[in-house]
Amino acid sequence: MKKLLLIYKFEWKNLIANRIMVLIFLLLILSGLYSIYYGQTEIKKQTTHIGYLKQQEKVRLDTILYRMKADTSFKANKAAFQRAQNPAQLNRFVKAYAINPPSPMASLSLGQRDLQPYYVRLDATGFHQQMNTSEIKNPLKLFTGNFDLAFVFIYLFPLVIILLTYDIYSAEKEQGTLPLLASQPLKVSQVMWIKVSFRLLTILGLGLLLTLLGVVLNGISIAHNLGKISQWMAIISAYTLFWFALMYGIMALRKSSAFNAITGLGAYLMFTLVFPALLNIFINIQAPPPAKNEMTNLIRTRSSKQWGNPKSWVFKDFYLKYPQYNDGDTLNFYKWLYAGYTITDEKAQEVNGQFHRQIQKREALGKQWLWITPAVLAQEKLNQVAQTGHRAQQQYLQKAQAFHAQLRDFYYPRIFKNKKVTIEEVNKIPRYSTQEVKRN
Amino acid sequence: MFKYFFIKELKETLRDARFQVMGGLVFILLITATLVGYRGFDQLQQMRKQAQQQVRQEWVGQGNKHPHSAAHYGHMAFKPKPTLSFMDFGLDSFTGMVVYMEAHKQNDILYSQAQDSTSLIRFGEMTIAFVLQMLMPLLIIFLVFASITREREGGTLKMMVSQGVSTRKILLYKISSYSFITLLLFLPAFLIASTLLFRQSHTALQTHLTGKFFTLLSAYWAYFMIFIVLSVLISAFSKTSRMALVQLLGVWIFFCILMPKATANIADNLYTAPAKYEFDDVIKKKVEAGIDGHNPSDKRFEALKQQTLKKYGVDSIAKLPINFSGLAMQVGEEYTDQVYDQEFKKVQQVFKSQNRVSEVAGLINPLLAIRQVSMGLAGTDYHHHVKFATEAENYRRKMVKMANNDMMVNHKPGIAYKDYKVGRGFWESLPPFQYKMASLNEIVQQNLWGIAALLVWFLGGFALILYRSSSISIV
Repeated sequence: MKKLLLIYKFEWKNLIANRIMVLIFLLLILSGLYSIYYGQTEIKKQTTHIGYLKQQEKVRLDTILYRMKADTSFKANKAAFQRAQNPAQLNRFVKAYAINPPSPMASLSLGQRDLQPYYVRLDATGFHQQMNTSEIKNPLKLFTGNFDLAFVFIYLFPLVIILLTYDIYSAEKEQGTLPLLASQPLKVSQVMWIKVSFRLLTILGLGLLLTLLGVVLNGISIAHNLGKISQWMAIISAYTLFWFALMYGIMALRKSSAFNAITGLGAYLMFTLVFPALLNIFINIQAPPPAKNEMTNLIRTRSSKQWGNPKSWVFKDFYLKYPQYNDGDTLNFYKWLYAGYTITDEKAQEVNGQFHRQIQKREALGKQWLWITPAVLAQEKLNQVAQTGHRAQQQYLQKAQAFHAQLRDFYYPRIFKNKKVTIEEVNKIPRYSTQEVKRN
Repeated sequence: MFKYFFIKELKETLRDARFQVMGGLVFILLITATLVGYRGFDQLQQMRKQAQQQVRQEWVGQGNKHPHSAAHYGHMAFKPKPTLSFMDFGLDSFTGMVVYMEAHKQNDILYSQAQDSTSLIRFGEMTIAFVLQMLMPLLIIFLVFASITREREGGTLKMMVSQGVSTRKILLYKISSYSFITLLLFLPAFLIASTLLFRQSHTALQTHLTGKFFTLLSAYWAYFMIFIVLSVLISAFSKTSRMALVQLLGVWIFFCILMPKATANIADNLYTAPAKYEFDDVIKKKVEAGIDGHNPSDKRFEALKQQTLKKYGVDSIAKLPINFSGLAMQVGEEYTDQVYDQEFKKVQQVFKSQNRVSEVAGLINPLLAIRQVSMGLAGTDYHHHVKFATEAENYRRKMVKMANNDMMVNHKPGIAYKDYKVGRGFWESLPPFQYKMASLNEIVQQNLWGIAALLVWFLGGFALILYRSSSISIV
């Protein structure tokens, strides 16, 4: 134990005496700090938008309340009052936002949050129709990706690990100090172990430090997210350990420093660049992304038929499926419109199911092969912890759809039973709750 | 004299186990990337082509209906994969691939591949561009880092100089030898690529294909030369091979891993684009209240009505010889288009300014320069995306205008909406959607920064060799 500490002490002195190493560590910490700052600005933009949207939603509801309370003896007020009472028109006016708020750890690993929608404006009309929008994004930015803390861990840490370990053994040999070392009471292999463990602890410590900085600077509550933070640390540690084990294996071959450095770097290249890129194209050829244009085509074809045919064309299908709404009315414009939305949405749901299966096939392929690249594996896990991955997005979309069903359940009975919406009922209009997301 | 240099370098290189492994790997990857990239490209291209044809058939065969109903039914434009894009996928996986074109509104270009992928997509795709931009420089570094230091450490540099060969000549000979070796590595892949390319050139979408292909080839050659010159220079000015290697690897990490991300992120913070809802709100507001805010839509409608009545010298809409709804719709459409163009230009300007940061940064990092030039030539950069968006929008306007005009002229007042119909002949008079890629000339103009950066690096490197080679220490 004493010897261990002694070697650690010398290693530490060696490390801080080496100007280049100190510089590299400083650079790494600076990159880490920048990445934390960057992740924070990205997430802040999103929370500002979300805040604004929530406020907009409230403004609209307040407008409705105001119109319902207004003096209807004025002509202008009366028209607005009638529009507010009509469930079909009210639905179009209110609209609610289904929002996917960033999880507390999102800023540390932005994942797919910049690629995927995090808010959808919804009303009780067709769900899939309303999903056909996209955010305004610079594709070049999406292409280059994010400089977040996960990037620092996944791309930069291995490089420093390679740099720290490639000449542990070979340098002693090349400097001619190996016989001297061998003459010591400790075995050479033991000394090597201690040296490696010192570097491992340094890197792990740095990882912990950066994570904690990220947590503190982002104002993430440690008490509430202890589980998440420890998961995060576990992933980082496992990934770091992997690189140390790899470098130890290369060292064990007892080749020259140059060989170790180049082999280590070669492995880095394979794991972070070549394998992922190959895997990507492999998945794209095996299971190409679904041809989602079919959705657009379906919706426009249905809509064209609905408008081109007599009203009974829609009602025939609709009343058969929803006999509770069947009062024999086949003339009402709003009933016809909303019946059409539902029927089209059901067809769209089938098509969406096909897309979903294709996407699942892609995911399964990815899962099956991800082990060949620990870098992507670690990224996926970090995204899972931060809830910014593809899976989290799918869950959010499911929640949004469930919310849409709530909206439909509120408006449809009122539209089809010719009921007016009263002022008391305005507060019962479903609002999207993000609470559940936070608890997960 | 050069012959001896070249033969010596070639022999040494081929004998070097490191090069055998790395070179072999890059070579295999390059061939794989070519074949696999082509396959992926072909798959998508076929799919989109078929879909585009199908949509056309549906348009032509939609039966008899009112032209305005047809404009609502609308059309779809698929973004075709440019022929050269199999060499560089560029931004294609991150941009949408289809846009629905209908009356009254401009839709988004939807469904990017990246949205249906896991985080894997962020790690890059195996294309020729990927291998040439990221891996080739590393191979060059491994090949060249010891080129001068080894001669110095072995004493051969002193010997050569004492025999009257100037250091400048030695450096230049080394550079030319390595450039030949590099050429040998990447030429086979380019030969395969060109066969694939010109085999299908009769259906090629791209104009100036040959010109673009060879410009691409020379851009990459310049990129490699930059790394060769840089590596020889650093080797010449380093004390030991190890120092040279460490410095060069540092340069590679900075160029290929750190800087591209940092630049794009900083640019994004410098210029802010509006969120989608903000964009939509502004358009809605400006259409309702008028572009200047003092010309609301109902006033505009009233003015148009009065103007039209005056023009035809009648006192009511019913007496007009034309269909006023058709006219009003077209005028409204054109007003919305104006607003949309204004706002869309603003967004484009923001993105172009953001991208400009990366372009100018090409002067610091040749990877950023070649990336931009390569995407541009392959037809997968932001400029091409905007071009597609613009052409699709123009096509939409053409389609809507055609429908509105017909309604205005032929749908006489008094005839019910459901009773006025046009048929196949009318649908056929709208030509199929076709998207012309930018010409070589346009691409060069759009990528002046990238080309300039490559030239600055290229000439700067050689200038350094010419002016500083005498100060290299020989022992």
